[in-house]
Amino acid sequence: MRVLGLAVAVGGWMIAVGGLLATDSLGARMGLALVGFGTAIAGVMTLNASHLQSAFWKERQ
Amino acid sequence: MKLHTRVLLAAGVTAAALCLSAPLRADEQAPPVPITTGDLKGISPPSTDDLAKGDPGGTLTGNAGDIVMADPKAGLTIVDVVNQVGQNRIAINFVWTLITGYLVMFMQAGFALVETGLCRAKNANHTMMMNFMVYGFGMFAYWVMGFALQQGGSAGLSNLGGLQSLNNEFKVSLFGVDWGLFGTRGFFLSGQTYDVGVMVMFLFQMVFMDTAATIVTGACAERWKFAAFAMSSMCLAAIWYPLYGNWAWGGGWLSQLGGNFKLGHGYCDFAGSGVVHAVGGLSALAGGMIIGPRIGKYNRDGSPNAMPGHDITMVLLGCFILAFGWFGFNPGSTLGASGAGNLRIGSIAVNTMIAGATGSFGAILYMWMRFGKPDASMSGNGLLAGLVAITAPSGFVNTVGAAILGFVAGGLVCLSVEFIERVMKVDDPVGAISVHGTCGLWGVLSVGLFADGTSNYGGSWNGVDGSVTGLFYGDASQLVAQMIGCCTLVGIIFTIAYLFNWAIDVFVGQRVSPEAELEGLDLPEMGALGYPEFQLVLPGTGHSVETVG
Repeated sequence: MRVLGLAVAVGGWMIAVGGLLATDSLGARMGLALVGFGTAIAGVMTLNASHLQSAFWKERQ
Repeated sequence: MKLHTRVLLAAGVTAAALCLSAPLRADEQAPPVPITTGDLKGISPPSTDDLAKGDPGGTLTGNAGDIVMADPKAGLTIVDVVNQVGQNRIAINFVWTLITGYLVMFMQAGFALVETGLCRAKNANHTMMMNFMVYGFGMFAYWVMGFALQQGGSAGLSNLGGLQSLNNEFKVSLFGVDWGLFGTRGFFLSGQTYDVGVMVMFLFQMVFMDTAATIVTGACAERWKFAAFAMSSMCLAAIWYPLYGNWAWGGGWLSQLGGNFKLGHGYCDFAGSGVVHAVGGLSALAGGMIIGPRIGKYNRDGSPNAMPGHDITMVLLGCFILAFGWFGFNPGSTLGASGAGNLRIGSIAVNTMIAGATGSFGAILYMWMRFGKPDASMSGNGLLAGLVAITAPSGFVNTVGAAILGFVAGGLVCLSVEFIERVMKVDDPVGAISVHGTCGLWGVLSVGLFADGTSNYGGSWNGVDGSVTGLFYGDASQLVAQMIGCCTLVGIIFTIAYLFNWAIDVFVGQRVSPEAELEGLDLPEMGALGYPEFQLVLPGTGHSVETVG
């Protein structure tokens, strides 16, 4: 799940940069950059979720 | 008055005006007269006898006699004068860049006070030592290779004399575009980079890198193994900070988004909301995830416990020192005070102080409304949030923009602290991830919103003519360039930071033992207590830390 989170984060960057190569439309580039940023954040949250799954404080009182 | 009289009067006035204006127009159109060596022959500097009497008014000191002559026998020539003017400009810029660099170096003291004050007394020595040694560890790694990777291909900076020895950028050509990835000149500052201008550049860039490195020590404080901290800091200084620094400042691919993809002036980050603060903040997030929260921070149901720092006076003093150092951080990033639009340093300094003030307003307002009290530590973090946010746009915005974006940062940092603590459950004792990471990203984006198109640093920025202009002033493409920068920070730089810290965790271990953490890291990690003459007592229990540990 950690690797998946990192892959999604990198994927977000690839979406944003890919938008520059795919289109000259400013609106489309901005939209893809937004999607890319959201995807990268989702990757970070996925990674964090994997850490929370095994958090030590869940086992302690 | 009759009509013909009025016509005659009007004609007379017009003729008089033409006669008066004719000489002025002739003056304006006259070609400039070049100064020759002959013009300098009549200049006689004060005699030594005059100077020997003293110069209390300062009217004699500094004159033609102080211009260095290439050949004293030939006397003062126009070549001497021109060379002196050129060297004066570079000298002013050297001194400006060095002194502002010294101010940024002093920010290390501010960070040390803020972080130590926000930690518990039992970890004071350890936290202070991390802040102290990150300076040395980071500097060493940056000297060995970080600077070369970041600035090794950045030749052409006229403010510091051209820096022509930093002349090789490694690029790959993909999809018909050159993507600059890292520089290759300046390892150990040796060879052709043994150069006065390069040394100035190194000092200034090094203290910036150290600012990024010391951000991580705050987020991972009170449970970070000192050896792991040393390795992580050196990796940041040698690898991922320089990479992003190159892409943004060293002529790398982000800075070329304007020329290659018609996105405004390419990624613009005047003084480092992204390069310094977001890189540091996202590295802190990666480290905080891997290292985990402090023992006692979270209950079994996931609810957080407050773990107050031990000295709020230390925290607020540190904030003031940081705010002072920021006058080096932002205005110094012109890398000069003379020529090429550098007189904008006044505007940059004022933007910096205003955004810091409105940042603290935003935070104090949020805390007062939400919790009924103006929280001191969050007021300090609000000040820092405003300063972080103005760092990237400081050279491109006006004071109104600075005030707005600083105020937003002040509220944003409070929201972010709550989100990271309660939703992500990442323990950040000092709020470094929010202050530097979240508000760093906001600062990067705000260039694309608030840049007002009035700056003119030599007529172009990142090789694109004209002034940097944001969405609110008519250029939406600049915002896209800034968004690409944010995606790179979160998608690439965070990932690299995570992978390196993960590797350190596997091979060295990032976290101290639970016994050491409960006792406090001062003795187990550093061998000496921060406050040896005081007995440390757990609040509300009456028990000493050693007894409980």
